[in-house]
Amino acid sequence: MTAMLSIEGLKVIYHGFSALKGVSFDVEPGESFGLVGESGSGKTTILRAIAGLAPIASGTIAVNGKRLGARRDKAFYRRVQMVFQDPYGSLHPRQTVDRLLQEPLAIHGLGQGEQRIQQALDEVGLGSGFRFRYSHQLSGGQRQRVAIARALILEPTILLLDEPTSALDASVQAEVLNLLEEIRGRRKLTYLMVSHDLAIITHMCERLMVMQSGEAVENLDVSQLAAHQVTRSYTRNLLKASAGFDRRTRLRP
Amino acid sequence: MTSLLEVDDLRVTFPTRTGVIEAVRGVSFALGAPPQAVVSAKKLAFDGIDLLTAPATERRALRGKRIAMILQDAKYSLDPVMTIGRQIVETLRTHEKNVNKAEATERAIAMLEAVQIRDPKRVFDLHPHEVSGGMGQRAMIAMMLIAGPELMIADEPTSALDVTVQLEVLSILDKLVSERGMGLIFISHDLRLVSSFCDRVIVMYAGKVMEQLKASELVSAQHPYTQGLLDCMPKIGADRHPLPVLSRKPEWAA
Ligand SMILES: Nc1ncnc2c1ncn2[C@@H]1O[C@H](COP(=O)(O)OP(=O)(O)OP(=O)(O)O)[C@@H](O)[C@H]1O
Ligand SMILES: [Mg+2]
Repeated sequence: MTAMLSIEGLKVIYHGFSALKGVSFDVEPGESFGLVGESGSGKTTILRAIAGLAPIASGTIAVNGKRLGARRDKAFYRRVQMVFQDPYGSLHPRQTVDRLLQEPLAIHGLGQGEQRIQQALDEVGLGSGFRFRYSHQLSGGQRQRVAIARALILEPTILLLDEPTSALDASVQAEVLNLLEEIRGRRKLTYLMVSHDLAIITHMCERLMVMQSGEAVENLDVSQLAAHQVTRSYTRNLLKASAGFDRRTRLRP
Repeated sequence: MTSLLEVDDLRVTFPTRTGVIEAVRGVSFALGAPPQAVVSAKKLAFDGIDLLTAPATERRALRGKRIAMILQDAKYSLDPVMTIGRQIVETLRTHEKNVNKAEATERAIAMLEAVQIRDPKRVFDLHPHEVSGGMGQRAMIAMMLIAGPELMIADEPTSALDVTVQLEVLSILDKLVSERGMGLIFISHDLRLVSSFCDRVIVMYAGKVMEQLKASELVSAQHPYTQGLLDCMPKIGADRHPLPVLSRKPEWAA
């Protein structure tokens, strides 16, 4: 089977600083693949590199067997969409939901805008009442739904999700996670998802890669992670830290 | 005896074009020595200073120096056109006028190191858009801690951090609370963290306090809202698809 997304020896360098030092992994069609790891380890950079938003120094990225060139064309963005880490920064606050959803349609010259916008809003559980609201008038959860609707409106096959629920409270998070799962099942999407919450990754993904300082620490099936069958001490620390704060065993004295 | 912070019947409303939004509707609590202070009058007071009537200059003097706030969207709260290092240095020098530039730089780098930034010297010279989500959050924490506040209000201060760094940042805050007596209001969605890190918790819904309890007792909370929140979190190894969602009761918002 051809991988839906194949990353081989990916290196990203920002002004002499190596943010990714040669990372490789494959994501199968319809799979949900998790990226976890240290803050600053390069998780977002992987998504940005795929989306053509980071300076790739070497390595290859292939979508459905087709190697990507230096520039991403329009067809690429119809297949691959990204939902960013911060719902505050990713949507222009002074634009209405309608404008935000029109924009990708206009860029890609897609017709039936009316119908597509309605459908996208329905799909993410926002009634038409939200259509003419400004994004700054929305709650974090609503904003994240708009961001998802905007990514879905182009009917992509791959969704790159960067901490899609880290700004949401537990109840809204559950709704957004359920929504993402349901859409993935219905549309047979492939997900590459970043989260620092191991519970979210085990809930949403089949496999994951643990990262530290621009490198892969290990690749695991989520069942291995859940059973604490990990080989590296960094992953073990992540699991331990996931249990919560413990005053007696401060990590640093 | 007074508390460090007293809040009684606080109300916050935002007039908007579509009507008035009542974001906070009558919230009361007290913080700091003595731990269980009782509030009697309708007030909002810090260390005995009535914040509702204090002149703007007095309130400004409190902000940053004695009361510090870590905002939720750290990267957008930082000045986008100034390097992280310069912002921390400037914060320090507005609060401690006699610190020279070299010393301020040294202290800023030490503070970045204290919040577990791996290469503090590099990050010192970066602009906010050049750092990761978690690095921006820690830069903001470093900037707030450098003035040595007595009260810290932290809105989701660690939501963008990986779990190990998160615990390291929390132990810095914990140390300031237990050793320096800093008051901390920790606003968070992360019930796992709240129950293990805080002393007391106020659970809020639609601008109102649903219940107030000891953090260690959060898992056995009585209010259906709190119980619902606890239940809808994904858990490692649990196989619940879809996750249970909260059915919000109109009476909670009444
Ligand atoms: N535009 C940029 N210029 C310079 N350095 C950058 C830039 N963008 C990212 N970096 C650096 O690349 C590294 C990886 O950043 P990245 O955003 O991928 O981390 P991350 O794993 O997503 O972290 P987090 O969990 O904190 O979001 C960081 O050290 C960061 O400072
Ligand atoms: Mg990131």
